[in-house]
Order: sequence, then structure tokens, then C-alpha cells
Amino acid sequence: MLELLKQEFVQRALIAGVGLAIPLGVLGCFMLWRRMSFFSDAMGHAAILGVIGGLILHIHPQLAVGGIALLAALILSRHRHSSRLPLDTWLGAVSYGGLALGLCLMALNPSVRVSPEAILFGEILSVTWTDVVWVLAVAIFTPLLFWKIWRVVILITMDEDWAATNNIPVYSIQMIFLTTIALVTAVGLKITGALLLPALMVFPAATSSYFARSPEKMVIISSLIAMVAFVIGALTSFWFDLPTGPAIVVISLVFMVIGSIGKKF
Amino acid sequence: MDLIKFTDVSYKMTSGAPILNDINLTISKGKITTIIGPNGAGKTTLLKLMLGLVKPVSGKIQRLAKMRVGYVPQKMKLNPLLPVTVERFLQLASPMNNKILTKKIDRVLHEVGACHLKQRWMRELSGGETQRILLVRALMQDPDLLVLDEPTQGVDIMGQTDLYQLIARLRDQIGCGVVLVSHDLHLVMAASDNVICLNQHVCCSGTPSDVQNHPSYAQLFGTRAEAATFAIYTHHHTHRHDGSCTEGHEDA
Repeated sequence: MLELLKQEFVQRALIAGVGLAIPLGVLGCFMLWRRMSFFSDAMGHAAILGVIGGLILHIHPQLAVGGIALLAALILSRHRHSSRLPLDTWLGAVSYGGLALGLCLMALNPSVRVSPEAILFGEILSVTWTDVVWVLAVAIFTPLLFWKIWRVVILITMDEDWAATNNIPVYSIQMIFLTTIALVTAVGLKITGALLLPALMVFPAATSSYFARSPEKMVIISSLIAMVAFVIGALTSFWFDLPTGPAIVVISLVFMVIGSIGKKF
Repeated sequence: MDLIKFTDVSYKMTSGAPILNDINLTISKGKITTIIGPNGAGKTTLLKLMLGLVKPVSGKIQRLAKMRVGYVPQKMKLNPLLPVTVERFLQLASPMNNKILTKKIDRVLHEVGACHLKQRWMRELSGGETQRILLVRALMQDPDLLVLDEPTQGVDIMGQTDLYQLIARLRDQIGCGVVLVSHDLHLVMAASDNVICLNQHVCCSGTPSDVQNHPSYAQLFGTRAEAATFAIYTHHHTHRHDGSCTEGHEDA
């Protein structure tokens, strides 16, 4: 095991994972509070279109993913003012539409070679130092941002209409929130994959909700749980030769189950 | 002083279906204005227009500059996974963060008779208790205008009378304007200065007794209007009758 930890690619994977756990823990709580677990799911799927589109158009993949994720977020946030279809229908449209469009584009451009598996499940072991820097930047930026807008973002989460009547700029804060999700999706995609990223937002936050006694504590505990899950999950996957992303998700799920049982006693 | 003035305001759904037509009304400081009307009359939409949450399709809405609004929504969809106590919930509602705020929370909780709820979890409050806390939160704003959307939903009949008396008392204390939307005709009518009878347009408006004698009021509410007439005269008693518990649960 120690031999393994000396490998640079393992160190990179661990640093990136622990870094990513911070914004995932923060955003996960808001996903839970706002009942939008499937929102990140839709963003993740739409991001696949971003990866493939970026490769075709020679745009940096992370930039392309961020762009597409932001576009998806914009479509979803506008729906409520202009559409008769309910939100979950639009989530499905963005999610599966993005996935299908991405796969079609890939078939039309045989020169673009990506493995769909890498996009869906991530490649934490091929993370570069540049990726690590990005992750750490987001890991510092996200908590600072939420600390800055904490009161208003919580108020909007509790009751949008009430916030609006108190002259809180609901739309701007909403956009900041959605942009952060897009940013974290772009950075996290390579590490955990599109399919598993939402799970890593929701499971630690749900586990944390069993114990937290204030919104702030819930966010902090959620990030800590995500960190522990990343480390244990990654090490387990190296040890037993399991795929890393799924191993981390399984560990997070185990934590959630332990939390729900532990709460009863 | 006029807080809000509507001039020929109309509102339509995105599909084009009209909800409100040519609404003219004025909300004044120190007065309790009650909006009554059947389901689908556009009561909630009218409130949203007043609060500035939606924009009218045509017409003009003038609002007093820098007016502070205390809004009590019909229901609070607070997610049970958000761990906040009543005290924290009220702290978050105010940008202040110091001892003055703590004192203010205590004072307003006391005014509304909800001190015992201070340390409870928001998610564990009953419907009526939640409603009281939402009222406290609105009062924390030192409102010029207090807006309540069906404040007595899920509150028992004695609680309803208490709540209306409380609102009337607060109006006297703070001197704010109050806008109420309600279904329970007689209780509300008794406490109002001004009644607006709404059914996609203003059917009639005026003092409670003006409105009751208006033919379109009887048309809208039928025989229940008579019950309301009766209750206006019986409103003044201060002791509690158990027998009155069945009244007021009819939905208009």
C-alpha cells in the first residue's frame, strides 16, 4: 500500500479527490435543500455533449464542458417563466438530449476518439497536475463564495418569493449558484465521471443531514464526509483493483446507510 | 397615505387566458384590506402583483418608494432536511447580526405569543405554529405593509379569531397597512376596514357592510353571505364558545 502511495499518479488522484470533495459537499447540501438532485444529473449528461463538442471544435474540453453545463443550467432556470412543461420533463430533455446528441456527434466524427466510458465513469488515475490545480482553485473558490453570499442564498433556498419581496436579487444569486454547479461539473467530470458526479454530491449531504444541527454545520460535515469517502474509496479501489469512481460512490452510499441506521439508535 | 395604487391593471397567463381585468384599487397605511373571492378569482395573482413578484400585462402599479413589505406566504415549503431552529430562521431573515437583533426577536416573539417556540426546529412545528413564526418573520421587517395570503389555513377556529385580533392589534401598534387574502368570510369581514370582492375583476369593494349589501356579493357567495352577516354582529364577544367550532370551515 505504501508503495502505491509513493506513485505520483496516485498522489494526484488523492489530492484531486479530496479537493473536489469540498465543493461537492457544499453544493450537495443545496441540491438536497432545493430538491434538485436530478439537476446535477442533467448537467452531467449534458456535459458529455460538451466533451465531444469541445474535441470536434478544438476547444479545451473543460471549457467546453463548463460552457455546455452553463447553457443547460440557463435553459433549466428559465423554464419556469416560459414553459408549460414541468421541470422534471425539462431535466429529462437536457439530460438525455445532451447524451444522445453527444453520441451522434461522436459517430459523425470518427476522427474524434473518446471512450464514452471515460466520460461516464471518470479517469481519476489519468488526472494531470493542471487538473489538480483547477480542482484546488475550485475547492478554495466555492466555500469562499458561499461564505460571502451565505445569508441570501439560504433565504432564497428557503423561500424564493419571500426573498424577492425583501429586495434580494434572486435571479443574480440563482445565476451565481448555477454557474458554480457548471464550474464544478466541468472540473469534476474527469475525476468521477458524468454518471457518478451527482451521487457524490447527494450522498454525503444526505449523510450529513442526519447529524447536522445548523445549515453551516451540515455543509462542513458533508464536505468532510465526501473527503473521507474519496480517500477510502480510492484506496479500496487500488487495493482490490476496482474502478475508482464507482468504489468512491459505493463507500459514500455505505456512509449514508450507516448514517440512517446510526440515527435510529 | 397610499402604499399601493393600481390603475386599470390586467394580467394574463402566458397562454393568453385572462386572470385579472381592469383592477383599480388603493391600499392605505393603517387600514386592513381584505380580498375575498372564490377559487380561481385571481386572489393570489393580485397579491403577487402587489408584491412585485409578477409584472402586469397592462395598467399601472404605483408603490410607495422604499416601502418595507412583510410577506406571510400561504404555505412555507421549508425542506425538512434544512436544519434550522425558529431562532435561527428569524436571525437569517434580518441582515442585522448582533444583540439588538436578539432582543428584537424576543420582543416580536412575545408580541405574537410564540416565545415557547424559539428553540424548536422549524420542521417540527405544526401548521398553526409555522404560520405564527412566518408572521413574526414578516414583523421583523418593521413593515409599512403586511401582506398575508390566507393566514389561517390549517388554524383552528379559535386560533383564527385570535390571529385576526392579533393582526388588528399589530396594525394599531405599528400603524402598517394590512392586506389579507381569505376564504373565511365572516371572521375576516369583521376585522376589516375595507373589503375587495374579487372574481377576475373587482365585483364590489368598500366597508364590510357596503360589500355585504351589494348584489354581486350575494351572487358570489350565495347563502353563506347571510351567515357572514350574522357573524359580524356576533363578533364582539370575548369569551370562547365551543359550539362555534363548526363555522368557518366552508371554503368559499
